[in-house]
Amino acid sequence: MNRTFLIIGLTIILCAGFRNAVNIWNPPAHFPAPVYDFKKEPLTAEKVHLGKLLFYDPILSRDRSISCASCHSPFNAFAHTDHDLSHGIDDRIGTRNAPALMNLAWQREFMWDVASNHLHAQALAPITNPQEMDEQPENIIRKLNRSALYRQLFELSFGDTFITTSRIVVSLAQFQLTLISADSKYDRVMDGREQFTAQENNGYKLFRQHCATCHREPLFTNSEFHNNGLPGDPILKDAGKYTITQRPSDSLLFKVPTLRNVEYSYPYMHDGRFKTLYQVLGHYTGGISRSTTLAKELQQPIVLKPNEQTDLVAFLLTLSDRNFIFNPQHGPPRSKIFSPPPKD
Amino acid sequence: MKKFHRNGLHWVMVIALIAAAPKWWNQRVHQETSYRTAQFRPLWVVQPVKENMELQLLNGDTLKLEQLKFYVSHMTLLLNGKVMWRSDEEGQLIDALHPEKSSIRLPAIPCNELRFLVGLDSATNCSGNFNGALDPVHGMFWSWQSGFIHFKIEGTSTACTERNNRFQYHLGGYRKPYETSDTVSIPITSGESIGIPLHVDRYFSLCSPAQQGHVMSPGKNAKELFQHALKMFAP
Ligand code: HEC
Ligand code: HEC
Repeated sequence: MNRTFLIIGLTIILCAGFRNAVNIWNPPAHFPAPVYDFKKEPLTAEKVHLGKLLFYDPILSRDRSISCASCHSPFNAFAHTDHDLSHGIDDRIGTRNAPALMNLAWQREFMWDVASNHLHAQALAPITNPQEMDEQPENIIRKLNRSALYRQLFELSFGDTFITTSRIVVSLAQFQLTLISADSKYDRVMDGREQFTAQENNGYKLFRQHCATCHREPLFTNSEFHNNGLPGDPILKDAGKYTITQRPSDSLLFKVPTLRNVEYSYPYMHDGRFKTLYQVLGHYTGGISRSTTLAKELQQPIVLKPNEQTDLVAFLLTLSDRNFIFNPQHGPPRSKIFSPPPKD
Repeated sequence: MKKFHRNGLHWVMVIALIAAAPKWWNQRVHQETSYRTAQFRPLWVVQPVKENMELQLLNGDTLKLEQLKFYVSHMTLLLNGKVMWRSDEEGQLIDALHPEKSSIRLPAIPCNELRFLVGLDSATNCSGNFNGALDPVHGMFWSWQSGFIHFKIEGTSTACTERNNRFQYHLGGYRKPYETSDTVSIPITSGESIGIPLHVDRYFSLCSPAQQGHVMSPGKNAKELFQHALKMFAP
């Protein structure tokens, strides 16, 4: 009897310790197991909070002009609208379109061309890129060390005020891991809470027929790299995955992006060449450029009548998740010290 | 109530003991093991190499080394082919031109072979771990394509046609077929400390800064030069 008390007591204490972790990590039931190793690096509310401040703080850039959010705006599903190519420090223009950020815990490789192999490693790319934030981790550590607030937040998160590259990138990753989008109309239809209209239903059928092998449900990406037949840009001459692997079979392969929240994440493709979903469908139905690495799914022309295109777009719009876009937990922090000037 | 107290205390003590036991055991084991150091010693034929020392190439050109850094991992000690000890460290960074940063600690146990990987394995390259030796502040991480520089050789050579006669070899990459890491084996004897010679001249007999002064990304060239760098470790 007494022993039972003690065991119950200990269990309660243990559970209380894990409470925070349970609250901030709520993976949707219809998603597969995540790729990110939460055992090695468990989410904590403190690190997520710190990561969010860092994400929105231009202190990460050389001249404090650019934050991660300058190019990844919450209101565009963390993509950068109005810019086909990304817009960085000193108004420098990059060579690729800033992708939407969501459901990153299910992604193994990052960037359009596989350049990043881990979410922790990813953050170092924009930070050190001279076209983007043009800063070195050593300087960021120095700047953060001058801030009493950050020293305190690092202590709360990691147990002491020691600031390291590793702790910075882990915190940034923790915030980004909480960017889960799984509450669109599509999701509600799948778990029986809502129904598609006849038009959306037809669009869904066409989607399953022509698009779903690459844009696979429920993440709307198969996490692979493919050549979807975009004609090469003569100025950018972007060879995609080949740039990184140097394997000829990877020439012109790009990451299959998720289609969740496509309504918000325009312009589309690695170089932002299309502004509307109809232009995208125009590409898939009549603009495929043939080359040796063209995906096998796109070898046969896709035929979609105008009304079918309308239906397919209606379906794609059911992937919009307003609760994700306007979730205050993801949005800019309130405090006025963190007000990155938006780049436009 | 009294009984509960006694009983409860008893359990707390048992739990505390169980929790503390592994730590105590570990400390005991560590106290009993003594260590010795293995030091990487860069050589130009027979002469010890120092930073910015003038080195003579066979064709008459001269060169100076500014950086000679590389990762070692999977450190293993063997006795007659049998594994006696394996390091659990993810990787160590050797800065060969700085003696205080170019040694590793090994347990002093009977052994006659040291085996290790020059470079880091692909799991470490993809682990997202940036602690200690893997911190990008050491200048051994490529942010633009995430992966570690496994071997870094930099300096100047009179014959190098690059800007300021500088040659820069940043050799790395973990993706097949251009992976740059390989196991080397070094016969060792017992004794307090071990010197591991690094025959730098062999690398420059195969790679001429005059012909190729610049390799900074993974690929065919990096892999080839890495194979040359491995020759530094051959007995
Ligand atoms: C100057 C604009 C810019 C800034 C600033 C920027 N990014 Fe990006 N981000 C991009 C672009 C462009 C890409 C795609 C790059 C590529 O594929 O080559 C990208 C890709 C990413 C990805 C990969 C997404 C995927 O699905 O593969 C993540 C994650 C990311 N950024 C997070 C961040 C974080 C964290 C920061 C702040 C430390 C940041 N970004 C700062 C423009 C930017
Ligand atoms: C062979 C695989 C494959 C198939 C099939 C495919 N896609 Fe894609 N899709 C891709 C790839 C790869 C990209 C990124 C290409 C790039 O940017 O270079 C992409 C990009 C997109 C984008 C841009 C998203 C963004 O955020 O930039 C949209 C929208 C899209 N596809 C819709 C569709 C639709 C609709 C279909 C069916 C008609 C379809 N895709 C079929 C591979 C595929």
